[in-house]
Amino acid sequence: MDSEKPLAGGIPMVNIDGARIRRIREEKGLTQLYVATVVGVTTDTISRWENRRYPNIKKENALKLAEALEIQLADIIDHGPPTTPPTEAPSLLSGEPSKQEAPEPQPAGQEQAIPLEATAPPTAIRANHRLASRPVVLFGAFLLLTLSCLALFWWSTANDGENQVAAVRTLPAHATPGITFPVVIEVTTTSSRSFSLILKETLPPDCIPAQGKPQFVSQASDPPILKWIGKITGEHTVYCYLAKLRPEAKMDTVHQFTGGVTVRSDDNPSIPVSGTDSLQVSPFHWADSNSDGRIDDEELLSVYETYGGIEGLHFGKKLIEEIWASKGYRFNPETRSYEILQ
Amino acid sequence: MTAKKIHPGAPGLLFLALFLLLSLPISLRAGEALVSGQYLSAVGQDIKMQITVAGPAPGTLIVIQNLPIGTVIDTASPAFNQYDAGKGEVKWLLTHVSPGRYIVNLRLLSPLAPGGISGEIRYKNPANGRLINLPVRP
Repeated sequence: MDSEKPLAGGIPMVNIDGARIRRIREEKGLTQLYVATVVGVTTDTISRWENRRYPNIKKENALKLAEALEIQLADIIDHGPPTTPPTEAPSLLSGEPSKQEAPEPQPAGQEQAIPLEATAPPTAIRANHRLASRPVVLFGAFLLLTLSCLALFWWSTANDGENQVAAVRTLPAHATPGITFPVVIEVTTTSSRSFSLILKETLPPDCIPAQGKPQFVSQASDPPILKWIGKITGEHTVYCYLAKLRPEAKMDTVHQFTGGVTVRSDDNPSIPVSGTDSLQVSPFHWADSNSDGRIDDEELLSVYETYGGIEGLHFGKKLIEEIWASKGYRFNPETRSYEILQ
Repeated sequence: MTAKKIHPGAPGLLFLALFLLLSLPISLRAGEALVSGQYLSAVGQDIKMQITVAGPAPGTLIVIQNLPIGTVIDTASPAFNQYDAGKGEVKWLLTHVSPGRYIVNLRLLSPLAPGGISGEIRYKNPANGRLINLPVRP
């Protein structure tokens, strides 16, 4: 395919059809922010692509773009001859307005045109005007009514979608380095409509993410960033993952978690994830919430009620039950494991 | 003939009393045990406790059977998770619980005298997360 061209560095590049991208995005009601977040670029970049200023982009980005638009890559590939510069590197020209955006010049004589009524007698003008304006008034009233109805409909649906999403994180208060702990983010909505969202979770640098349920779609490191793209269809959706602190994490230090939800067709940049956001490094097991060296009945039930219902989340039930059934435990820093006291 | 004087606050008090009277059974029902337990057998060698779970069911139950200190257990069904012979306390952890009936059964080496045992069921109320300790008496 001639639309796919590797650069000198070997990075595969493709030509994309900016106008088609804009049309598909607008048809699906997606914001540039949503698409930019999925692709991992800025909204300016999406805007440039749509304006065909830089239609030759990395194939990797084109694939992500197709994923964000929920279409195949072939649907956005431009098969025509390239008409713009061949790279997507930032340019000093990016501030210039495009040809599409240039205002149309006004005809020179239009501003001087004299209205016809100005030459007629005043009474005749009023009578003519009254006769002529009746359908205009009716039409205007009809138009006003229609617009009011539309505005009311928009307001009610917009209000329905407003502030409808909340995300709450449940995180143990403490965890031991090297021991896996679970994190749950519950996204709730009051809306009955289904919509897409992007959940982004930034872990502290001393944290290593492991299993995700559902599996996160992208993962960056330093600091670790997890991302989920999902669709909410019910009242709530649960996203969870396992993580562990690096063995070198210092005892008693506190580590922060941050996250946000970006909702499709929403003007809000991001809804922050509330709930617990800090984790202390401790020699006590994360399920031992009162740090007394044993897991009692209430702690065990809390663990099972919070995390037990998540199918396939391997948060270390066996060890927790072993500690619960024993007289206690202690952390051995040399072996970096717990010793069960019988 | 003298007319009886009605206290100005009386209708309000009456309404409050009526409201409390009506709402009390509702609140009791709301906090009513989602789980109940009863002994099918509490004497002799076989100790059998039946647990009935209603919906919405708590996902996990801890069932406790208190025996006289030093009691020797022959078999248990299902297998218990903990037995502290010094306290005479047997514990089961029941997970993935759904509405229905469950039976925990112990066969002891020697028969028990009547009244020597008691039980307890612990769970978190799914509605508010509160810990419930439900005693079970023979």
